[in-house]
Amino acid sequence: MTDFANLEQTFEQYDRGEARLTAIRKAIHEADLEQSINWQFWFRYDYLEESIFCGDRYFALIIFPELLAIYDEHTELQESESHTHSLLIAFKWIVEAAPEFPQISREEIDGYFREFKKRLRREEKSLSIYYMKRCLFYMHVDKDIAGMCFYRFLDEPLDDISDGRALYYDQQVEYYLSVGDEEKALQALQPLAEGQYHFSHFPQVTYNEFVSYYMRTGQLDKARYYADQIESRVTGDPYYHHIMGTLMTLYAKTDPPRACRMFSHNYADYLESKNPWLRMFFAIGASHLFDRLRQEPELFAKEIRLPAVKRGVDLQTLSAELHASAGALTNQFDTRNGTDDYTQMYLHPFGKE
Amino acid sequence: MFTADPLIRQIGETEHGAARLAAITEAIREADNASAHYWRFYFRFEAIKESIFHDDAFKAILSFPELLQIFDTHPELEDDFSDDMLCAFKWILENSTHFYQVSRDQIDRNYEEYKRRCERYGVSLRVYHMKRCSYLLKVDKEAARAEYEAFHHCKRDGYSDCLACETHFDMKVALELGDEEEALRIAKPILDGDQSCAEIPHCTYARLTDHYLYAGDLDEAAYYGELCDRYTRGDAEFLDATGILLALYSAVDPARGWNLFKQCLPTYMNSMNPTQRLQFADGAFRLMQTLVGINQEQGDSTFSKAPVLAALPLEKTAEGIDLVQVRDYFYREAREAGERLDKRNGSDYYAQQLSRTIVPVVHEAQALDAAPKRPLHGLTSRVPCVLLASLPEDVSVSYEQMQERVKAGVPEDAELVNCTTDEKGLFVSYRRDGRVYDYALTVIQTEDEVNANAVEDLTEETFARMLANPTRYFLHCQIGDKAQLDYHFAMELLCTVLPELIGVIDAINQHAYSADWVRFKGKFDASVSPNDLFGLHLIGDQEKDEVWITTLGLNVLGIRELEVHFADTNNYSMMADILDHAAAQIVGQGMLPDENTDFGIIYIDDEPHHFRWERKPDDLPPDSIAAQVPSDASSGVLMLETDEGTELVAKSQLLANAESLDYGNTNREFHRRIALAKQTAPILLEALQSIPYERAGVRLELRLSEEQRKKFDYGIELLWAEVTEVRDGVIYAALKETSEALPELHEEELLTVDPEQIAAWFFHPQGAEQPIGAQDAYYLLKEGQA
Repeated sequence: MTDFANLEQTFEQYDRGEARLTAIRKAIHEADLEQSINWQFWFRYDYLEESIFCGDRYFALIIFPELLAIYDEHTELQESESHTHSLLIAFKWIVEAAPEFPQISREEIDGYFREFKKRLRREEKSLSIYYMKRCLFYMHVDKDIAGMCFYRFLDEPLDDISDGRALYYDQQVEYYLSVGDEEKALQALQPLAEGQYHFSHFPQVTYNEFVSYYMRTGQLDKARYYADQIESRVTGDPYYHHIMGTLMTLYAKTDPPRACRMFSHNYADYLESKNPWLRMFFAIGASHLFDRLRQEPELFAKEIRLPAVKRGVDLQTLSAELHASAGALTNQFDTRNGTDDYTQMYLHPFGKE
Repeated sequence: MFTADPLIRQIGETEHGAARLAAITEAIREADNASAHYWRFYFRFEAIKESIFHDDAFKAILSFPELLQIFDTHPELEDDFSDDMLCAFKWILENSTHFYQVSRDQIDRNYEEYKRRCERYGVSLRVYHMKRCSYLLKVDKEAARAEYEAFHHCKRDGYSDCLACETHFDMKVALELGDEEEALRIAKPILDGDQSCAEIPHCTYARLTDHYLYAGDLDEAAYYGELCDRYTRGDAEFLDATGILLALYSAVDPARGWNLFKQCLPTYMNSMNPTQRLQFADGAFRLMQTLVGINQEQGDSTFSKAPVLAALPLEKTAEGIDLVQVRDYFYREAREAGERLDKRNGSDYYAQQLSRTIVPVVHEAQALDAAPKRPLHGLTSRVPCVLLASLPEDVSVSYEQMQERVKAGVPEDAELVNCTTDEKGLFVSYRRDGRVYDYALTVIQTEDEVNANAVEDLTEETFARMLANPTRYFLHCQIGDKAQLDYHFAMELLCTVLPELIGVIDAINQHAYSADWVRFKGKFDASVSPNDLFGLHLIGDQEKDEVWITTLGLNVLGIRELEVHFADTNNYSMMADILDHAAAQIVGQGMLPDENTDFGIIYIDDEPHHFRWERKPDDLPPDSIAAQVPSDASSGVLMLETDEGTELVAKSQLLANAESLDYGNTNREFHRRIALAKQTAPILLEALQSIPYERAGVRLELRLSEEQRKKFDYGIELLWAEVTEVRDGVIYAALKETSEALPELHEEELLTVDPEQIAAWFFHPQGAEQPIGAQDAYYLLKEGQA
């Protein structure tokens, strides 16, 4: 009999990401061989968690149906509070991750949400997290539905499946800015800015919303104010590729050398990334930067450092590659969503003048 | 293109009720015009919710089929609205049975349709069986029993009613099926405060009041009725509970019932819900029957000029409206609604309900020092107030003498209902504002130790005399709703009966007061402040560096005592202040809310923070004072709500710095002080005329003209003026402040002071270190007279 508890503790010895995922995959295999229902569940959960936060979220989407099937087939897991709680947490990550992949259709995503809601109801949980995640998805699909979900989200109580009070305010910031209500967004920011509530991605995620909003509305000084505060927090961390994309677009216009440094520092990670949503934002920002570099080619030579696999590729080629990626990804997402939100962001990052 | 966001926002900003419903109706119209089916459903759901909870539920019943039709013809709505559809359906099931206009067939069809939809969406049938059982209890008890069993066989899910509502339902079924013991066992989590929601415990108390009222146990009915009244407070939502209270007061306190009736009659007239109307009408009928009976018995008129009665469709005469007619009106209303509901249900449930009679039962008097009955939310049973008066050693007063003094000194605003003596004591009842106040005064020779602390101006010498004198005059008073006022009445009675007294000890809050203090409080009702009604008791241990603090006296008001646990020798003084501040706010509000619910307020670095209370934990360290003191088991522990959760006040870092705290002033206290200044204006006048003084001043209430009122958006300005002279009993003062809102007044302008204008005053006697207020001036004048 394998000591699975001990095995689980060894995961920490591995680096986050691929190395740890490989170790967990082996553990899943062991647990499957020994038919240890409990560990079949927990190792898949571990794998899913690692994929969400430090790996490729697509792996999470692949492993999730297995996790769900094991839970649904075994009443002892269903009767266990910790297994049920963890399953709902995993489901929360999945409804958040699924929209990041354009190959997953809107119908499939709606299906995930439908099932998530049903399970939250069954376990007498608040629908707060359901409405929050659905609002986030529908902000780029149907703004009215997003609005409805947002107001329901405000009405629902927070519970142990919810994302916590800090993200409750962050969500408000994002929604209010999406509908152009800067005043309410600033009100919602206050508890976060004053440190009353905190989450690990603050301020970068929240401030990024302000950067985007001020860019859309042509208030570049204000956009710079927030951008300059988060640049050092996001660069180097692939989790924030979407924010880097926004910052590169802004800096391409206001401080090109800074945008070049950000590109050089993070381009290699971008090439490795398998998350289409993060890649799309990065590609959009990089495309805007390379548009600027084509006007000032001396900056390309002076500031851009390329990774080994791209060494020697010229400005024109790189620019064309980035535009091709940005165009393709925005098209895929917009087609799936039935809107042109991302295309507009790509073509008119500072709003239509 | 149809955009919903602005409409949603506008609705959210509109006041609940008719106004919001109108805004929603407008949104429905716009969505219909745009054929925006998603929003056609959304706004109709909002309209149903608003009608159910803030307007007329019948409107919801009428519009529900439309909602269902939109949902059924647009499958794309399923993802976002299947929940809302089921939720609205649940409300319709609950409410449609209240309206006799909805036929039994229709109700049955609704239940079947709801069941079908629950099955389709994989939703538990628990709600279905629960609601159906509730309905069938009034139609067919056997069928209800079967539904009840089915209810317990279904799992809970997110569509179920909350736990508190389910527990209440279980209790209600047990009562309907005649098992009182089981009902109380079931209701324990509610009665212990462990379960509550927006309607619970309110409805639970109402149900228990109703049960005991007709089971012939008026004591129990009054006990639960008191709690029910405090929670429902005549809210429109609880019209049926108000009806139960009216029935209760018809038997135990008709005056209180009359006030509640007048308060809630407009709600009744506006209500369209036949079941709620029936319950109110039944209670109103029973109350009117009692009032008519009392008036007829005393040979008084049965007519009333209460303006609120004008809303009733009854004949008005110069004398007002005859309560006999009011009684008969409510009798007809209740019977008609009952008959219609019974006819629809094919049963005689309501006929039986309306024919129940209240059987008063005589109980043996409870011991006055009985322990609180049981812990209940923030409230608990009231304990009687006991005051102990001491006379000079060589003075004694007989009961007969006291009786004569009471009869000769009936206060102007009171009616003496009863004043008798026997060998046990003097028994006095006054009627004031329609309420009866009962007092029992007994003289006891005892050398038993009295726990008390001298407060205010009581000298050590007088206090020692009070403790040493074995002849003690005990005044027992059952405190009514307005505890502060009754404290004033009690002091007033003591001054009337025992003018020789040298001091009084409040046995509950363990305060010992001087005779002057008692006279002052007995003379001016506004002088009684919330802090007078409780005391603080501290026990400390320097070795353990632990101090335990408790309030003493909140139980007199039917509120839990509060304790501070684990204060230390450094912070105990500040903790005592904080407990005093929190308790004063509770007394001011007359209510302590449920466990773990915010109450009171303290400002820390200008940010408002709320207090909470928790029951004493079972796992206190055994060697701690908090574990060892023999304190009241129902006491609560004072906590502070912080961003991190709930903390013991003494352990909260937020309260570590005394300088960051601001206790704030409540409006109630502000108005009390103004009232006191007006009441004691004659003292100022007397002092000005008889005591040499250095300075004196008054703060005057000055009314703004209509024009200025509109311009500045307030109506009264308060300005200080210094007294310049007193002539022929009139005070003259020179203005020391001016206001933009009163441009016609200038500094040093001489004004004639109308006592009714005085909002505050001070008096600085010659030779004194500082100015004095009303209480000290009163003492000084008494001293001078002596």
